[in-house]
Amino acid sequence: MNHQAATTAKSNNETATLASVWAGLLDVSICLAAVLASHSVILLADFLKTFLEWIAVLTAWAALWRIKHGGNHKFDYGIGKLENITGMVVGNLMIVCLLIIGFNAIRNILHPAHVAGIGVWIGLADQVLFAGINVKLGLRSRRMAQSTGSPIMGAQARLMLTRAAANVFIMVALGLSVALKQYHWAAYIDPLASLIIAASILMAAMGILSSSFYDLLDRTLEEESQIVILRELAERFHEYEALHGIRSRRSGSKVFIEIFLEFAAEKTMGEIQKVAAGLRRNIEARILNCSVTIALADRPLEKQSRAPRHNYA
Amino acid sequence: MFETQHTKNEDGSIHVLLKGALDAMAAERLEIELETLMETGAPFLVIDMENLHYLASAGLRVLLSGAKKGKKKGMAIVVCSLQPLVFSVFDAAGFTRIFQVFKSREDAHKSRKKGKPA
Repeated sequence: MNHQAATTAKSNNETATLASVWAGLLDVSICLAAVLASHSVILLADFLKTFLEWIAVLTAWAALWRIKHGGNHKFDYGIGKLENITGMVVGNLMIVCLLIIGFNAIRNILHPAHVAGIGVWIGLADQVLFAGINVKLGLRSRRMAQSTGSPIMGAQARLMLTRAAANVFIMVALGLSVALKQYHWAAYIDPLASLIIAASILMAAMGILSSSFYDLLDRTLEEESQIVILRELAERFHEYEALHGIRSRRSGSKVFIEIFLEFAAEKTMGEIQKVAAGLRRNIEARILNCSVTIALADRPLEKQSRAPRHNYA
Repeated sequence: MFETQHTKNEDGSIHVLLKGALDAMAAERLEIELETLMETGAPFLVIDMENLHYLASAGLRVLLSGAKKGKKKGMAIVVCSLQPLVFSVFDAAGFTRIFQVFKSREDAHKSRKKGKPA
């Protein structure tokens, strides 16, 4: 992708994410109105879930905005760690929301009451409206993810389509609670359905927390990526003298890989540069969102970390 | 669980049998063992993977470094008896370009007599 195309893609990603921010804010406001004007736990769960998702979308947009406006140049490894830290914060907020939903659901199971009030109808209308909006935004993000390979847009697409499925679920639960209100047991539909929403929040929280936590700790590359690197090193086996180590670090969705190689003393810098450039080019083409550095080394990595002394090619 | 067993033959070659799973932890052990074996000055090393059922990238990395060190010290290294799953990883990493692969330990040792790997 050339520079102009990359800039256009970043701009499109930012515009699409900003649209999601505004749509999310509208959704959060309507959900809040519905919760305040009803006694529904599922609408409370929906409000908290929508609020958390909006925070996540807002963060994605903020990261894209910073990248587009040059904030990225102030940090050598980009601002990906911001995504990881925000992930940890959102994950913890999710746990708090989970407790609120759980407390209200158990209270309504112990003291069952039918959902009522104008808030129920606001909630139903909101679910219908946003199911449509989420499907439209989800499909648009998926098309962009396919054309640009952006992991942020891929995540956006999955988020929007999952939200649409949740809208349908809440719509059905609320509809049944209203339609079957002549039955005593129908009062349990609302709190029980809210627990299902709580379970989905718990799963998302666990995923976000574990992924962000391990990324912040710079977990090593996946086996598939390691194999890609080793394959390139095997293909150029006769072009270097020794492999002294491979090291990686993460910054959000970006991966930085350092390969420590020793070259024969008689090789010229030009020859070494050619090997390093070939390795870098091939690995970066095969591992999504990675940046490869070939470091010149004369001893194994563990010994270097005690007394750093290497040059970069 | 990872284990190694090595025997030195009359002709000076060394046979190393790998057992279990060669993961990141085991790779560190194998690296030390290979370095020790290279110090013996043996001209030929057969790495037997008949009882190896898992090979992680860390293990491949040690084998690659071993091949480099062996080349420097004039030690030919070959591998034999790879299980299908291990072979698929070995092949996917392009290591069949670096190492000669034999179906059995007998074939591996015979290859030295024929003068192939050196």
